[in-house]
Amino acid sequence: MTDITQELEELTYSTDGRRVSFTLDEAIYPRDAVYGAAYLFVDRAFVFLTRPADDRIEVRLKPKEESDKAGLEKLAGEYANELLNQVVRVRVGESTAQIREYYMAKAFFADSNQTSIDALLAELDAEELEEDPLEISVPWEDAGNG
Amino acid sequence: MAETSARIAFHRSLYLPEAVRVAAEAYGPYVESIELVDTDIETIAEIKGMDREGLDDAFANHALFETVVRTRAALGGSA
Repeated sequence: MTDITQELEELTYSTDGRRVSFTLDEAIYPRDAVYGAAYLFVDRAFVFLTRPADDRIEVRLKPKEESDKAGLEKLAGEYANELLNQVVRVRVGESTAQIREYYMAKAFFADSNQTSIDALLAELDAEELEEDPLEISVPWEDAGNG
Repeated sequence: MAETSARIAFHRSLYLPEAVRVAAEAYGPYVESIELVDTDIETIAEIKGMDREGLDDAFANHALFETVVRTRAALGGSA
């Protein structure tokens, strides 16, 4: 995996005093990550996405509440942090997709496990029937003493 | 009245046209009219008769929300 931290250090924002905006390289910040971060901010800010170039996404955040410069900086910082979280989430998801698919396939199609469980259950059934024709359970302690 | 009309261009690679349509239906009752025009690259919303400032921002927010929810649902996940 490439060094995400180094890539994300390039993240900068601009502001016009009312809103903040980021221009993101989609190769570094996948659209799913931008969506994920935006989704978490729609209750606090008006979020608008534009595409200034084929591989770029511009994210504009305008706080719903009146906000000063410090408030805008805080909003930008929080969005950048969340974007980083989402990028890591997307990349981990991608890098572990094959492993997840493998385990799912194994869980669904591995007959040998099911066979061994069936055999074990049959064996337990057979033992119970031999020792206790009425299948009345006997506590371990009693069974050991008797 | 601070502003009465707005034009918003939603890039189709970022906003699902059906999500913009759902947002338009939701905000229709609060404005005079919302007209949508689809081009190859954008869904353009012409909003007229807004009686409240910021309604266009809220409309765009709603379109984004619907896009994210629908995109994730299509991928089999939840929002």
